[in-house]
Amino acid sequence: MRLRDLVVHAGLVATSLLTLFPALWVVSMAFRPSQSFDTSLLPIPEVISLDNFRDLFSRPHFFRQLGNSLLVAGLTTAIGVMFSCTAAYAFSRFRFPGRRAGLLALLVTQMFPGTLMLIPLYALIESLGLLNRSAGLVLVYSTTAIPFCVWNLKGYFDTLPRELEESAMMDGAGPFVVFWRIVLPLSRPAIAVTALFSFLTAWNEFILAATFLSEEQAYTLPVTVQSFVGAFSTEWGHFAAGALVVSLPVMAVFFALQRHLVGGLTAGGVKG
Amino acid sequence: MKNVAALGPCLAVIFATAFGAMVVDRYASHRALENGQAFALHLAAYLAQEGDVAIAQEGDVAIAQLRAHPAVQSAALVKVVAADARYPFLRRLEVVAHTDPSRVGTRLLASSEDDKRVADLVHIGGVTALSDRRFQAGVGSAVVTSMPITRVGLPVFGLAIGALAALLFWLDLVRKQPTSRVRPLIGALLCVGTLFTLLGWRIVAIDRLEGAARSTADPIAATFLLAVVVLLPLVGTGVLGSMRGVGPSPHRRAYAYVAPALVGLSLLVVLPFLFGVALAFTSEVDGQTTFVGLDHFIHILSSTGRRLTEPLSFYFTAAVTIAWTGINVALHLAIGLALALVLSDPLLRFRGLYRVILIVPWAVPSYITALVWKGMFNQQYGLINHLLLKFGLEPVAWFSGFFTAFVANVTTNTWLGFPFMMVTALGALQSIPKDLYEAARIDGASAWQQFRHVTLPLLRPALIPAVLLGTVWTFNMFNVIYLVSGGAPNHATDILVTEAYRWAFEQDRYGYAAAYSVLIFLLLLVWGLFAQRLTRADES
Amino acid sequence: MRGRRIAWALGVCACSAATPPAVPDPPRTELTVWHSYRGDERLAFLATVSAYDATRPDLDVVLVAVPHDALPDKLGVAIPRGNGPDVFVFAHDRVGDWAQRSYLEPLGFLTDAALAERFYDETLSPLVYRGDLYGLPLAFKCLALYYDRTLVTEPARTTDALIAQTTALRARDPAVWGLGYEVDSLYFHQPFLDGFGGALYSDERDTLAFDSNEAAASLDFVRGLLVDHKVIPNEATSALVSSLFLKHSLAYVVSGPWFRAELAGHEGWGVAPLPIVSATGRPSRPFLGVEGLMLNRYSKHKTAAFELMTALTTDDAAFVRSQTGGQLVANRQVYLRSEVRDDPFAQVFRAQLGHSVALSNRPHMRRMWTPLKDALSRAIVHGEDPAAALRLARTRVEEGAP
Repeated sequence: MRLRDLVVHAGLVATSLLTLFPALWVVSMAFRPSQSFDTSLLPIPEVISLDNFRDLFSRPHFFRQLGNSLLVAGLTTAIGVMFSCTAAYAFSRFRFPGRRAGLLALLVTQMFPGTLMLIPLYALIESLGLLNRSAGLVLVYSTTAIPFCVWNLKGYFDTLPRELEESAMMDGAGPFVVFWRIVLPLSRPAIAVTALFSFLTAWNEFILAATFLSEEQAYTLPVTVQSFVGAFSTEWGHFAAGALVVSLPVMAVFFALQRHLVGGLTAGGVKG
Repeated sequence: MKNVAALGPCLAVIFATAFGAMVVDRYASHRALENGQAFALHLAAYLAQEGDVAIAQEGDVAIAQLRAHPAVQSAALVKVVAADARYPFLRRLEVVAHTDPSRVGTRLLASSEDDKRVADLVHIGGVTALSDRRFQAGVGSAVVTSMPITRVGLPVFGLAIGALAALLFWLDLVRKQPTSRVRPLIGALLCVGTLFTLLGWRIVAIDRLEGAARSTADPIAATFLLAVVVLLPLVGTGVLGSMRGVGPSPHRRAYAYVAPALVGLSLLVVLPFLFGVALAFTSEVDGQTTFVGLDHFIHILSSTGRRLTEPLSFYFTAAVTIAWTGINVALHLAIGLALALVLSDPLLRFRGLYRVILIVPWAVPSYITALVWKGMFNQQYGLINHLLLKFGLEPVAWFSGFFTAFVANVTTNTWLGFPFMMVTALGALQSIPKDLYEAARIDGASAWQQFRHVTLPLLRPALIPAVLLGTVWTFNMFNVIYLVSGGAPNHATDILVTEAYRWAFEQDRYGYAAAYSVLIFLLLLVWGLFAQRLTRADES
Repeated sequence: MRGRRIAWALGVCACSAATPPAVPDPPRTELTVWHSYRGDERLAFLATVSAYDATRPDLDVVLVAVPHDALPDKLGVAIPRGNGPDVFVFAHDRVGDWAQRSYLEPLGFLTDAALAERFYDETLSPLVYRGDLYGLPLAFKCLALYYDRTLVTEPARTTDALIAQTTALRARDPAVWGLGYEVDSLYFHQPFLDGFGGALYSDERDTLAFDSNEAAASLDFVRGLLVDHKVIPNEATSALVSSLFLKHSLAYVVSGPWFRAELAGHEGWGVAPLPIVSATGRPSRPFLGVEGLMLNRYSKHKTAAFELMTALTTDDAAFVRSQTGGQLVANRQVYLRSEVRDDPFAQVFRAQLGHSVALSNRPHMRRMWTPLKDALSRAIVHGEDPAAALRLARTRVEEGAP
């Protein structure tokens, strides 16, 4: 038994190192005082300096932009999870005309390449009066995230045994109560995955954000990070520092969410 | 069938009013543009025939005519004069005739608000005339007008009313007992919205005259046309169905749950999608958009005169795309699932730490990490060749051959993509009741048998969405290929979406790129229909 | 919980107390400027803008930094809908496209000879499209030859000298490379294309001419540098080139003014004009790019915006951009001031400006990059027949022409 544990840990450590290794170059570039791309054989900076981070934090509106990013990603997560929970539940539990078409439609929305979507999306957001506002981004991001969220949650709901809901119904609980009190708590793992996905959809996006927002204090953080890329050269040190700063909240969010990735269904939960 | 009526009204109301308002808006600005330009061009052409001598006299006549026009506040006839022999692009505007007679013979002032408006409009009428070959020889003159401007946000207003009506509709549908009392109110709201948008177009037209030279691109108009065609049946069934009172009572709750997600989605996805489809039938040359029918599709599908097995032919690229997608998704799934199985063991120590480390590739912006991978694959200074050398192997020129470049792309994308699959699988694994494993153990099942007969079948429904959407995303994953191999060698490792991207952003041929996108969409649609059969089996 | 609520209340009080009494402001015109400057260039541009802003109490100039990659598309969607900036900064190569789409205000009516005289003629003409001027030049960018003083005492003036020097260096130390640049990029290949007598177009009407014998000879020449003389490292990306140069393992780099930022803190380098091509005796002329201030056709404040543009291109403002931002400014007089006159970097590039070919600002030019990149990669990296590779590129460009 102990040997098996050792093997598992050895394997996991190896995988973790392999996973982290390419990212270490980003760390190395962030902590080097240089702005050139690190092409050295190993990601070990010769001189360590915090200049890149200092430059980054002293950029105008930096913390405001961090706040914007958190707001946009947070709202996207909230809206994406809320609407997809209800929709996924309907798709999983109710049989209604248009159900298959609806599910397929969700999938279909992901199929058209996004390269040409910029102009019509801009026109739409403009006509809704949401240019330059976080709300416009939240709207676009949550619609981008919803198809996966619905499909993922629907897949999970499908695995939940209906007996629980049926017995609750027999105890006199309304459909909404069943959904809220029984289905949602049982689906915590899938909701956590969905939330992380929604958060990341909104968090790293910069093209739409750079197009829809026209005030530096309204920018989200990835826009600022991307502005270190120039026509002929890129300030890689600043970019890497920004990339690290951008990734940390993701890890924090995941760390917070991952405790929900523990058994939604208990052994005694299923009758039978 | 009558239950389709339920979803119809909600969507239809929003679309109908919003599109109505936008169509009117577009139409109005087109008309304003045509009128304004035609007027100025006509007079410029007329005066051009007479030559410079006559301009002064004819100009007075033109000014008098314009003065009689109720919308015209001031008008001027100006002549374009070369200002400096050394710099041929420097010009001056001299006033030939003006509603204010004292201005005749003076130079147009950049400081005067009125003159500025005049100068702005010279560029609409006059410069257009100048760049037209017919007028180039003789004349630099133009008639300009300025008009009162009012701004009314009618499209937004129409949309607001539409949204309100749709909300009411939705609430009505969600209620336990459907009432017909709300419906007349909705109808009234709709009428008001339509009336406002229709009445408002004249005002909008004048408003838009200021920016009259804006692009007259047809795709947008075509989008609305398509939208109307697509939505008419929906509107029809929706409105008729609800009017006849055949409310979707048995399925109201289901529709109510689904509607919010679908309404937002249809607004933000359907319209851009239709725009893309419309664009695929057009071609743009020198800012002028023309309808070219199926030309782009024929061109692409005839593999543009190349052999079918040559890079850059549609079929070769499609084959590469399918291989790329299949291999990537398989790798993502295998690695992600394996890690998830290990990491879902509740007794494993440092579980949280491993999980957070393994999500790093997903968290760090891929723009920089993809370039790091490209650096690792460098022929002379890359880490990977260095390691190959260490182990006594020959270094590889990764981006010189199709196979090696493809491997480099797949490696990078596997690294970038497995965390998503791992996290999804971690979530999905929790849906398997633990007592099933206990039962299996008691029956003496080995670990592999447990995986084969308990985990896999139970995981399937929860994992299919990730695989399905992962496939679609990988199919359209353009930045990895663009950043790592860049299509090297000779576009062999390009996939369909990078090709579409190249046509759009490197060649400025958006219509052609849109045709590519439509073909990509159709391929994926076939896959989606096929995949849906797979899921159907799970639900029964 | 209670403590926090009190703190909030206090915060609100403090805020309201700190609010100054309302004074009716004079009506201010707000001008928006979009740019994608970074680093020192951004600071210098900011300085000139705020200096002008301070002299104009009636104006508010709002600067917005937009990521370079996103700026053209953003302009393309924003300007026609009236949401564009009043003024923006971009390279001249999009001028033709934007002028055709009526995004840009022609400046010929607003500009006079005195203003035009500020700039080198070479920097004005790229901003002219079909006889109209569409921007005021801020700065120019072109390639020159960077060299490592520890490896090369006297920079080579001809390609033959360059080959001789670098092969000698390589013979002495194989870890040292001779010349570094992206061989499969048209932008970097242009000097040799031109030096061998080739050109992209034969006239102003987009007639293609790059499948000439001269162009093929230039490809052969670079193939020779890469394979026969082995002075260029394989897969020389800009990242690799700069890291080699920083390690003193690379004698020459073909790069532009932006390269200086990467050499911050690095000692022992110099800049020289690009060498003369020995086979033809012609100078190798790089592409010239001009960053211009452009005026939005739909700006509501064109007069004020043009005044701003004029103020940002004065010799004094240009001097600030040159000194603080390290820019190669377009103003003639600046190069006579002692600080710039004694700066070899600025003077070398100014000399190179006289031997440069302006990138075409016609929309057609954008179709050339990828097909020619393919041709360069085929002929130089993979050793295919140059003439055939160029003909293939020609088909691809013509295919791109609708």
